[in-house]
Amino acid sequence: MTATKKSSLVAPVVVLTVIAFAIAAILAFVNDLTAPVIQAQEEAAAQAALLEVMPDGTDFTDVTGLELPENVVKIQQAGNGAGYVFTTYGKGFGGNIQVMVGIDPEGAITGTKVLTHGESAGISDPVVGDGSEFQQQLPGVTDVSEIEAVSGATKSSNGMIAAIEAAFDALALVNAE
Amino acid sequence: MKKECQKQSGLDILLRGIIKENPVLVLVLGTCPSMATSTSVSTAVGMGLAATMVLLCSNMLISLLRKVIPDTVRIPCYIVVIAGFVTVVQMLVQAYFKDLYDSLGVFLPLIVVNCIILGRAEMFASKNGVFHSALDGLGMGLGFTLTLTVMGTIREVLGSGSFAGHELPFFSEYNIPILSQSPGGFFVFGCLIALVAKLTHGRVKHEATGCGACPHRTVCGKLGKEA
Repeated sequence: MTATKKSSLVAPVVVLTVIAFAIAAILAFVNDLTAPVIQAQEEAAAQAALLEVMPDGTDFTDVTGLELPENVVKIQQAGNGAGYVFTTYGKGFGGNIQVMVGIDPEGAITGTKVLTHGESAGISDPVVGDGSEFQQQLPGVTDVSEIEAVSGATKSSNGMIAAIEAAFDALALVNAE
Repeated sequence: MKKECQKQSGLDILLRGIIKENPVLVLVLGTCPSMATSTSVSTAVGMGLAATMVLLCSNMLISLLRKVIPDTVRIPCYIVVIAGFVTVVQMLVQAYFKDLYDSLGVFLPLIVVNCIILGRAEMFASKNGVFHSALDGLGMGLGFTLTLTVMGTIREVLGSGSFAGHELPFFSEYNIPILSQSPGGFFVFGCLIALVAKLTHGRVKHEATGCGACPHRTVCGKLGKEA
């Protein structure tokens, strides 16, 4: 094998490896800088969402040791006895709508917030948007039969109702413990 | 080809990305992010600037490395460089512009496969000096940002009756919701392509087929020779 042939085999490997290592080093450096900021932000966002669905709650802790129903993701309990916050989902028009539902010890909803959804932009705003028409009727509700769907966004409304029903089911489960 | 490159002035390289060789409307690259992120002005501008940042950095680095990178592995090298810069931008946006990060969603990491960036690396940065490549990246990026902003303005004002999140008095009562959905995006996109074709009519000569019809013909080394 001649020298030129050898270098044409080795050079690409060396160059690509060096570039990949250099880029990886840069990424590691930037990640070091941004990771703490991102983590702090995520914690703050999670805390803010909890307070939004349960304004009176403090010292939220995860409820563990329960076998959660399929569409319940997480249950959190307010340390001061203001109630429970359920993270549940229901099937809407464009996949699952994930919702946080706050329920007080009397079984009435204190607030809701949509975390993620795949509903059509614009059309679903009266249901999944923060402070929307649909969600304004929810505080104080103790049973899903009291909830009215929004016309024009029935599928999204049904997804929300399913998620809230899951939260009520989970509440019954928690109370049974 | 080399002589032609030297003749191109810096200003010409910078400006042609905006109308004459606009990456979205003339080269028809990067259509997918243009559709997806132009539903509102703020996401459109954010997407445009993030892509410009990546385009500028990757064009400069690839131009610097153009003599080092062997031909056989050039595409993997470009992708590694581009993906690296995209990830850097993504981490910075996530840390310091959380709202923008949430509204761009998956389209921010997808800048890696944005054809404008790989296209410019292959067509321009791998053949030209650092300074000209930087200008090319900046010009193309600004063209992309401008197009997205125009599309975003049209779609947000007429589709949702607001501008950058602020409700407008007349438009919020009489809006056309379909414009903020994907069919409306294609409609606006088509109208803008027609407009740019009209503006550049006569100055950019198009042949029906072959190399002459290719929007990249001015930078492609195979000009005039059918591939």
